[in-house]
Amino acid sequence: MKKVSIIAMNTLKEAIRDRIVYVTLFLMLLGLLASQVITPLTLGEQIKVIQDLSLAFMNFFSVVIVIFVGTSVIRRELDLKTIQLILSRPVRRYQFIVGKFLGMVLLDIIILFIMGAGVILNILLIDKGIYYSMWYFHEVHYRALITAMAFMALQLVVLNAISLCFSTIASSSVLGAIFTFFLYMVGMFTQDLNVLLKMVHTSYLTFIITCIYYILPNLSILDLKNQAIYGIVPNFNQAAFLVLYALLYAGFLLIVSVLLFGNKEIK
Amino acid sequence: MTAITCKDIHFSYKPAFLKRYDVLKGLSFAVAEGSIYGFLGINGAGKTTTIKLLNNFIKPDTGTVTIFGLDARDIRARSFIGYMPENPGFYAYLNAREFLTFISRLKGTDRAEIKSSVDDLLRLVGLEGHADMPVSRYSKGMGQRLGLAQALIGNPALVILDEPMANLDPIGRRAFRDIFLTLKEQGKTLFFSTHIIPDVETLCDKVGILMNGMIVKEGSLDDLIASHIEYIECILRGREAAAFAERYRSQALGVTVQADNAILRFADEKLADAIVRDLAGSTVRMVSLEAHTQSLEDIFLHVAGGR
Repeated sequence: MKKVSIIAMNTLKEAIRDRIVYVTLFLMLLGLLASQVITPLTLGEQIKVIQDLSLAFMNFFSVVIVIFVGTSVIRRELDLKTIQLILSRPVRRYQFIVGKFLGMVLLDIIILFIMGAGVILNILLIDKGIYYSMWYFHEVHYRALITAMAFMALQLVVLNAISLCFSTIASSSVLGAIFTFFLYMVGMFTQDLNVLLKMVHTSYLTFIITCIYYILPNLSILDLKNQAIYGIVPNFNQAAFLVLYALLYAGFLLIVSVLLFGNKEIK
Repeated sequence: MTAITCKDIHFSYKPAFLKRYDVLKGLSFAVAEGSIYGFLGINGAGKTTTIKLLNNFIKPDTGTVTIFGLDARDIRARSFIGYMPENPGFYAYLNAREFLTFISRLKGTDRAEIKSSVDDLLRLVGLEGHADMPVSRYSKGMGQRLGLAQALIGNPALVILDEPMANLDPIGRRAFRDIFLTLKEQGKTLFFSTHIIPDVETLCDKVGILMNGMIVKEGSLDDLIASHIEYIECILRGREAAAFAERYRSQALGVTVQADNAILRFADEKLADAIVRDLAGSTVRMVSLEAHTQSLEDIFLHVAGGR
């Protein structure tokens, strides 16, 4: 565990010194500032719009960071050959992969904490703003907002596991990023396969679609942004199921990454 | 005890949709503990592939690799090894001190010892003045020095070096040679691949020449050179030296006469015995009998040329 934590901390250090993190955070800040300008124009809907925009920016930019940092996390080690200096030590390959994964998860937590603070502040500026308060038709449900952010973190954990998996097999970071982005997009629409299932009446097609439904990541169920705006918080059973699903899916991908990396030739 | 044993190693790269490429074809060699082993070979001979097998970066198709009696795949074998790759890569966001601390922690060095051991290593490789500079600003030579420093973390019993002196200036090469000799005095085993033959001649106890994935010549430097005698030169002196030398002209490679001196060159070692015997009842004196051997470079070029 000690070696895993050393690798995790080094991964975190590498990630937080990556320019992409700061550029993305800066763009997120610009987005939030823009939302402060746009929101007052939506008379009566300010609270809804500011929440919509803020959470959307948070989701989008955190995904960008995870995809760019996550898919290069192994590839860069292979390209720079720094991996040779680590694996020539008494470090097992699974310790390396798990350390990298945990480092990325730590990055997620830090990024979401910073972004979350920015989002809450952004919403507070409108919510507690004196100029438009008489026009509000909605109210802010801070507990639901924070819950949505926590599930966004779980979504990122799954996305981290996906990007790590592609990082071990893809021949370049760009290819890994494309695959991860593709799977993220697919994952956001996996729930729609249920609709497709209701329309299909052939048994083998039903079987194939059901298999795809269970194999592909269902990231949309972890997306609680819309519920948060209306103050809907999942009950304990729902929350436990979602947490379990995210952790099991990420764990499964982590095992796949370890197995793939275990047989990889370090060139 | 042998530090490294490779037995009948076969290894091939199998690129997807492409033809299999055999790199190692029955490679076998052993490196004795406490010795310096020079691994010579032309580009593409399989030197780096062999080093990757020793580090368990790749697995052989067949054959066994052991490090101090442990299978190279055994994690415990890694504890004995300090490895310096060719053109080592570093994390650009770390400085030399941070990087060595990171590797020390992975190696399991006691936290209390890390600072002093890192300082010692930085001093040893001459980077103490650049310890806090980001590694991204290092020259190739400085990178090479840091590469050696990280290989020596944790006082490893076996140091594996891939082209360690390739990017060094003459001062750096001299410093590395001195470090290697000091390590040998401390009882460490050094295994290094190189193209630079003078380094091998200066440092190595044993040399293996790799060609087409096999060791084609192996032995101590003295044995290798002694087994490649080009000719023997005998200088005779005396008024009858010319006439004495003429008796061997048919068996000799050449006879040169200068005043009272005669120089005989021949390839057959047995002829030296005959000359010494014949000199016993003669007024001619032998002032020199010297075997002219091939240099390691000649041997290497001869082997490489015959591939």
